[in-house]
Amino acid sequence: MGDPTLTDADLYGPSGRPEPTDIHQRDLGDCYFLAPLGSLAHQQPGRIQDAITYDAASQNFNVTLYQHGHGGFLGLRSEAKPVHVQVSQADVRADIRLSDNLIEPHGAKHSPIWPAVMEAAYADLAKKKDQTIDQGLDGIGHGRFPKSAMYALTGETSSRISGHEAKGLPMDKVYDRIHGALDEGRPVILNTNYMSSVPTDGLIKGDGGSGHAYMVEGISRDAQGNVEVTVRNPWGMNVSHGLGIESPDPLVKVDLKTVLNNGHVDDLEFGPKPPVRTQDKEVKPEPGQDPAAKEHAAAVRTGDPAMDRLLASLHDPQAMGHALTALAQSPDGQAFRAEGQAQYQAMEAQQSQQAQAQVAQQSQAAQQQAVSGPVMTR
Amino acid sequence: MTRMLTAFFFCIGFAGVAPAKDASMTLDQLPVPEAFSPRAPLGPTDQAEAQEELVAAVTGKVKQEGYVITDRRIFNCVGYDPATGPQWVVLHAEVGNAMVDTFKAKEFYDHLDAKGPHHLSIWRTSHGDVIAVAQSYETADGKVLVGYFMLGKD
Repeated sequence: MGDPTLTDADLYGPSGRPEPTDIHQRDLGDCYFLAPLGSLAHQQPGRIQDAITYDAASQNFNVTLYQHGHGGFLGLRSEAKPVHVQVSQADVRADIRLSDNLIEPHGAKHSPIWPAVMEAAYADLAKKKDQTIDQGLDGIGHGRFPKSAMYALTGETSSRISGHEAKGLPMDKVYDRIHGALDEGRPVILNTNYMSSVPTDGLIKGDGGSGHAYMVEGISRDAQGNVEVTVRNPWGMNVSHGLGIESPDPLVKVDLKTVLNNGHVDDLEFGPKPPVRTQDKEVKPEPGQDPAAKEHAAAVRTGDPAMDRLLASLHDPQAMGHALTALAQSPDGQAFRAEGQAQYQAMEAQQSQQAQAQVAQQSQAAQQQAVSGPVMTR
Repeated sequence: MTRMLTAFFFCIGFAGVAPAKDASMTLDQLPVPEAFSPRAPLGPTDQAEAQEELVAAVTGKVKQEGYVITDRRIFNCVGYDPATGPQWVVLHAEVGNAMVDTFKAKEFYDHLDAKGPHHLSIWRTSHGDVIAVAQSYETADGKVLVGYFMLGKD
């Protein structure tokens, strides 16, 4: 007899929605993915619920994740591209077996499977086309950057404040930034530096040159201005050899000033605000959707025949296609395209240089306990 | 006199070289985490079948990397928190940090495998010792074994 089929009834626990307590990092070094995932479960569970659907006919889970794409006129604008990943029963079983990230207390039927479904989808997205899901899971299990995972989960770029920068700010300002973000419903991640000699400040030591990512769940300030941050370890508990940290509780409160002064914090990352939702559906306003705006645009005359033709075609998708083709083939369009390509190549070269610089910085951080991250976490 | 001095410095020279051999580590120097119960290696007859399975799986994997097992210590792993059970990421952090910080080792292999061992990590220390750490899949009776292996060239 095979394993019972997993369905949407198995996705969530008694609350009927994703909970950060469902996160349990056991066998994969992917705190960089589980911390943003758990933080989203804490702040914006609807995002995860919207991302996963179940198809009873195929018995697949369909997960929407995001990759960097290009949109806008002639594809020059960088924008998130939704990717629909099919996660089969075998994929979820592979994740449960290899990653083993479900909490399975004795006597329980099983724990919510949404973390396994999301992790399998992320592994599928990250793997090469000819790789198996096992190889995909192995591939994501050795540390990466939380910012990339947050983008894959939300299609939006996180903002960050480095530990070094935060250390130099008045504590009230750092408090306001974190408190404000949590109040707005943003997921917040605290990433640590790897330090070979670790101060005892409540945060665990990283692993072999990598830092660790925590979910930030709360912040408080006392009358003396001391700021305490509550963080959740995606491990599902806290233990760190030689630091006196040994607790089955994944939550730990740390003094913000202490962990910043120790250089233990690489950065704080702030994910996007919750999407605007109407009747449980995300509303993304698009300028072209307003009929009045279309009328106005059609009436505009620019003096450029190709552009005027394009504006006049706004009501007719087929005519718009022809107008776009004509515009792209016109001398001005060709010149614009060439200019755009050059800009795009320059931008890619710059991004590549930045990525190389990040790797160099990370290496330096590991060796010198520098605080200028971002640091890879696992 | 010159001969005596030469002989003296010759001996000192040897003494200076000798620690390189002494500096090589043994598996007993590796940390024994609280996740292990008992906190001593299993005897040859303890869970013999499960031990054999783990050793066979590791032997096959390290052979692909050009190594053979020359020494081993195998432990029963119950996890740091028994309610949570064994967690490779936590074990890897403790053992891996000892490898990096104490033995100046570099990890050159770290993979999980559906066929077993569940996880295998291999480090090379600054003195050239090659150490593998492997975790088995859960056995039929719910046990997980973790092995420390000293490797030599095939």
